[in-house]
Amino acid sequence: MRTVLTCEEFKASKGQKLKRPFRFVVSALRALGADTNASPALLRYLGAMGQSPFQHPTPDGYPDESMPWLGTMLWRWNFALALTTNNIGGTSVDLQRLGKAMGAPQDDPAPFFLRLVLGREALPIEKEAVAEYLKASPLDPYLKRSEAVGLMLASPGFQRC
Amino acid sequence: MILTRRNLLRVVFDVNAVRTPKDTLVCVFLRGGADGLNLVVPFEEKAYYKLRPSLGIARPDQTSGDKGINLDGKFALNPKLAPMKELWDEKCLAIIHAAGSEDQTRSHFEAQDLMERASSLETGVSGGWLARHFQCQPAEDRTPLMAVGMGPSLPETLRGAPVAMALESFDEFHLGRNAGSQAALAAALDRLYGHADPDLARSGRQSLSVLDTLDKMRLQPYVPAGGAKYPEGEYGQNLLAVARLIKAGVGLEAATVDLNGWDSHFGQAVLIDGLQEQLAQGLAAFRKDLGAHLAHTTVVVMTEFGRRAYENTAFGTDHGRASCMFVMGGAVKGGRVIADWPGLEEGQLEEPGDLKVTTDYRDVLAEILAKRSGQSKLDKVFPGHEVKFRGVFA
Repeated sequence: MRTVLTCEEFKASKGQKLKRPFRFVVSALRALGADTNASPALLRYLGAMGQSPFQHPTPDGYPDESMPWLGTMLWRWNFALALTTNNIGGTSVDLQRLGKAMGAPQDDPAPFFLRLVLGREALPIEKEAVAEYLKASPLDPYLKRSEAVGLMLASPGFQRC
Repeated sequence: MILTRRNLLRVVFDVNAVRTPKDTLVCVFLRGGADGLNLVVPFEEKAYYKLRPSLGIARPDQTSGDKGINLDGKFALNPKLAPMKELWDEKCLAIIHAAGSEDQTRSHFEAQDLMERASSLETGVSGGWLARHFQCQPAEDRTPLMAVGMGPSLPETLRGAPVAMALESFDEFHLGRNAGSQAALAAALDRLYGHADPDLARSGRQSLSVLDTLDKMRLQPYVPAGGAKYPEGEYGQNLLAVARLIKAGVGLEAATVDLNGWDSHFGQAVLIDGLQEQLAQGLAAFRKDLGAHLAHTTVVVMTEFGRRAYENTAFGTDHGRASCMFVMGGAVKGGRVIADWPGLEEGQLEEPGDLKVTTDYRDVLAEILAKRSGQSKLDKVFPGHEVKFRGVFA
């Protein structure tokens, strides 16, 4: 096991696959420690992306390749922003509390969340895009930060696994 | 070139401009098993009136009451479908009768699944037939709004399509709910996806362009042309949205629309009279609204199975086999009922009393794809089925 998990090939294989909608949604919920009752308001995003739970199509299930899922980006973005701004009924996140508990700097928590969401050090382009958004958005700081985390979940880096 | 959102959009639309024009194919699925013998009545069949003493639609030559609308001396349209008679007279509507699936299942779910995949269980293909149609096209032909499933979730028909979107209304797509920051979000996403791998880059670019298109469409209030009046309800609103997308020239190649509730086991008239009116009013309004755009539009109406030839004791009909299909479009050789009519007499029915399927629904779909959507790989879209065109188009 150790040999497999520590070899270069294993490391290099990260980020080659596209998350399917279910994994995308679940990984977003987990990354932010969301509280959810898996109500229809949440599940409809999976339906819209074509991967409803317990609807596993016969005979061979949901596709394993990325191509059939590339058309779901808009719904992923919709979901990401709805999640971080607490607009999904029955599902909530408390980003302030999460940041505080994990020691994020209160004046500028974005880099912390970027690392948390991506599970790695962010690329310069990712840092810049988020920073630019924060500069350009006219929203109040709280809402702006929430949307910025949505932007991170919507970014290409979070679609791969 | 600097990768601004504007530039990316330009690339997308340039690609759009050189593509050969194809029809927009609109697939209307009547879910629940619509009674083909009630929609289009074989009034010359004596057996019809024997099998359906109370549900039978009266012959067109009857003097009084609700009677069928004569089409060709053999078949009549249900009076509730009256608005479709105009389409028939205009010769843009063809009816394919005794059509259905080779599969004998009478389970709604199984039958709908199989039909939306256009496969039999044995061939074991997954994903929808429209999805395979799009998979068989070159990637560079793909545009963001080429396939839309009207409704809250993507129908099986489109599952697996490289580009397909579930769309309930034009208002549900926006970057967040705060108008003020949408431009900033779009710019950030544009930047991020511009630096992603080619697959994600294309997908991100397309999604941004969809948002842009929908934003523009939202700004313009829409009035259906020609005084078209869509019926109330989701079905009518969805057809209206499709007409809007067609007229906006956004590159729509296929859309799916559902009309649910055809499972008429008891009190059939109460259950489906209103649905028939909706169906017909919707198609007539769609046609009117499209105007000259009908020339590059094809609508196909289908259902998972028909209903038993004889009525049951609850004034309803149970699950059967063949039903009918409607195809409407500018290129349709309309004003005809296309049927290899199997008959309703004893010995002509399929056990335990169903109209036989003599036209495979895939033949109709395949002909549409081949003649109107430029599909040459029919064996890939309909694996294991030997396609036979029925002359729906010239």
